[in-house]
Amino acid sequence: MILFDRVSFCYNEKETSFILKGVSFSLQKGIINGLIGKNGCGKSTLARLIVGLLKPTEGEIQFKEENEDPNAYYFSGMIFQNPDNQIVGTTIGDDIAFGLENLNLPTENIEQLVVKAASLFGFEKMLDMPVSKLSGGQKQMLCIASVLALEPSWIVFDEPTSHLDPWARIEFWNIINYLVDNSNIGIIVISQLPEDIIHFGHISVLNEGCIIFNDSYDVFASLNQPPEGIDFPENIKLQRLLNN
Amino acid sequence: MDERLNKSKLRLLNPITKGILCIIYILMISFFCKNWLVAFNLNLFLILICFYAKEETIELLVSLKKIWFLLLIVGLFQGFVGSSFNIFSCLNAIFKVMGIFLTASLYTRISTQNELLYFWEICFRPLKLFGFSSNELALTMVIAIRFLPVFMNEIERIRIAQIARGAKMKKNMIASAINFMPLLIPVLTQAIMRSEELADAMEVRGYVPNRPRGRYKTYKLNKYDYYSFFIMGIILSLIIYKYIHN
Amino acid sequence: MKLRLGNLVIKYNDNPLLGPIDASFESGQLNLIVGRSGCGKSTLLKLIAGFHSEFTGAISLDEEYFEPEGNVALAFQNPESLFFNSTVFEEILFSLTSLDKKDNICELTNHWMEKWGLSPEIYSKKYPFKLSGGEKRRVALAACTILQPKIILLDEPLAGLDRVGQSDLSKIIKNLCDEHIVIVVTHEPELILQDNSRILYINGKETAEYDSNTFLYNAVINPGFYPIPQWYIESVKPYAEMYELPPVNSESVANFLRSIKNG
Repeated sequence: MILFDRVSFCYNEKETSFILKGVSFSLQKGIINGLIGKNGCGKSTLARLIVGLLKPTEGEIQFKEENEDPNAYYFSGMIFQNPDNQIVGTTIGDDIAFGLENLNLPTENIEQLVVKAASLFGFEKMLDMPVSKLSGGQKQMLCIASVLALEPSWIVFDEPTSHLDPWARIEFWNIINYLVDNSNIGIIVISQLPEDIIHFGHISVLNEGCIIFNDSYDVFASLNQPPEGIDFPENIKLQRLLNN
Repeated sequence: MDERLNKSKLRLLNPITKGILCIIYILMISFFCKNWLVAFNLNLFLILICFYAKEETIELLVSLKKIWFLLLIVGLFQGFVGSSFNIFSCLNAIFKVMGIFLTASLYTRISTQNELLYFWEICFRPLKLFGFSSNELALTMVIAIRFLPVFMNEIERIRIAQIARGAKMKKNMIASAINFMPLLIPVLTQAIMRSEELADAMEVRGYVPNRPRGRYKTYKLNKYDYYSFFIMGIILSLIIYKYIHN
Repeated sequence: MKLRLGNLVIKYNDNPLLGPIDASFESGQLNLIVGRSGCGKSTLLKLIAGFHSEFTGAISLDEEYFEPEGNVALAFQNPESLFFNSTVFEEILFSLTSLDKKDNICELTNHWMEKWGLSPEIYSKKYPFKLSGGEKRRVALAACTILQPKIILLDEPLAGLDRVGQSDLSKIIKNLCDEHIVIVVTHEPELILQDNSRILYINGKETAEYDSNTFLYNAVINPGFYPIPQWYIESVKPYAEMYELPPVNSESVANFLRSIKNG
C-alpha cells in the first residue's frame, strides 16, 4: 500500500503556486490503479513523487506491506511515455542489465536476473540484438522487462499506450493484467484517454493539485456527473443513453 | 545478428587480446615494412588466419573495393621516386594501406559493440590519474552510440518536414545561418527534452554518478588468447629481425 | 480530384517494404490509412510527398503525371516539434515567406488560423510552447498546410491529445476534405470514421481498400482484423449482418440500437 499523508509539492520554496495541495489518499496492490486528470493537473508530479525523483515539500509518502519487514527497501520503477528515450543499453541484454549494474551486483547474479526478466517477454534468445531493430511495442516490453528485473514493489506507467498501435495496446493490457494477477507488484497507470479507464480497478482523479475522486471503477461508473476535467469512457456513456 | 550465427574462433578471443593484437599488427605494418614482400606476407598471413578461423574472408576482401581509389592514388604517389616509376615502392605502399584497412575492418567485424567499449574503458583507465572516471566515460560513449541513430533519424525527419513546409534547405542547407534555424532550433529542443527524460529514466533505475557499478559482461582469457599472443610474438620477432638485418 | 497509385511497390534499401498497392485517394471523402506500426505507412506518405524515391509503379493526379513539389503538404507525427518561431502568427506565416509574391500574406494567415479554430485576436501574439496540447497541434497543422496544396498528408494527427482536442481536430480535418485530398494515417480510425471515409488497410506487405461500413463489419466479425473497442463490438455484433453499422461513438450507437428496437 502507498499512503499519501497531506502531501504538498511546489518546485520553488518561495512560490505560492503549489502543484499538489495537501493530497491524502492511498493505493492498494492487486488491482490496476488508474490516475487520471487533464493536462497540468499534477499527475506527472505525483508519479515522480512516488518513484522518488522528487521529494514532497510538505507531508510524507509511506510504503506499507502486509507482512511488514522493517528493513525492507521499497523500490518503485517507472515506465515513461516514449520507450525510445529510456532505453540506455545498445542491446536488449545491456539495457536489462543497466539497473542491475547500478545496484553493484556480482556478474553471475546480473546474468541470472537478466535472463529471468528477458524470459518473461520471450527475449531470452535475443539478448545480443541491437535495440534499434525492435518495433515500438517490443521497445516498450523491453522497458518493462528492464524495470521488472529490479524486482520493484510498485511500477508507475506514465501514459504507456500513447506511443503504441492498437494491436500493441491490447498486448500491453494483457501484460499489465498478467502482472496484477501473478505478481506482488503494485501497478499505477497514468492516462488521459477515456478508453483506458475501462481497464482500471481503482480510479483516482486529480484536478488542480487536489484529489477529487478516489474509489473503485464501479463507483466511478455510477456517478451522476463525471469528475471535473475528465469525460466518461464511451461504454459508460452508451449505458446511460440506453437506460434513459 | 550475424554476430551470433558466426562462430569463428577469432570472435571468441578476449576483447583485450583483439584490441592489443590489432594495434600491434597495424603498428607492424606501418613501421616495420621496408620492402613490399614483407607487407605482402603480412597481408597474406592475415588472410590465411581468417580462412583458418572460418571468418567471412570473402566479404572482408570484397570490402576492399570501397578503398580501391585510395589504393590507386597512394600507389601512384609512392611509386614515382624522382622522375622514374618504381613498381616495388608502389606495391609496398599499396600493401601497407591494404593491410591497415584489412586489420581495422577485421577488428570491427570480430568485435561486438560491448567488446569495443570494454576495451576502450580499459584504455581510459590511466585517465583516472587526472580525475576522469573511465566508467562514466564508457557509459557516455554507450549512450552516444545508442542515441546516434535516433538523432540521425530525427534530424532527417525534421529536415523533410520543414522542407515540406516551404523552408529553403536542400542538401547544402548550411548555406546561411537563417536558413539553418528551422532545423537547428527544433533539433536542439527535441534533444533537450529527450535528455531530460533519459536522465529521469536512468535515475529511476538507480543510477547515481560516480558510484561503483557492477558489470554484466566480463571476459576471461581462454586458450585461444594464449595461442594468439604466442603466434603474434613469433611474427613480431621475425619482422623485427628482418627489419634490423636488412 | 483523384490521386491514383498504380501497382506501386515501395522499397527500402533495395528490399520490398510494401506493395503492390492499387488505390485511389479522392477529395470529398476522408482517406484513412491503417496498419501496424512499422508497416510502411509513413514511408508511403513520404513517397507521395516526394521524399522517398525508391519505388516502382505510377502515381497520377487526375489521370496526369503527378509532380509532388508544390502540390503536397506533409505533417509528421508530433508536428509541434517543428516550432522555431516566437509567436503563433510567425510560426504559421513562415511557409508563406518562401513565396515570391508577398502581398496580403498577413490576411491569408489570419484566414487560415480561423479555419483551424485559432482566433487571430487571441492567438497571434502567443508563445507557441505555452499553449495546451490541442492548441499546439492545431497551430502546427495550420503551419504545415497554409500553402493549401491539393493534397494534405497527416501522420497520426490525433495521437497524444485528450478527447476534447481529438474531437475538435477531427471536425476541422473533415472540413478540409471538401477542397483537398486529405490522407490521414491513424491508429484511431474510429475517432474520425464517417460515412464517406475510405480506408486503405495494410496487412504485412498486402493492402486492401474498404469503405467505412465494410471496415467496421470486418472488425466486428473478426477480432484479428482490427482492434476496435470491445464495447462497440459487444453492442453491435448481433446486428452486423443485417444493418449498416454506426460510427464508433456512444451517441451514434445508442441511436442505432434504438432505431432497431423501434423497427
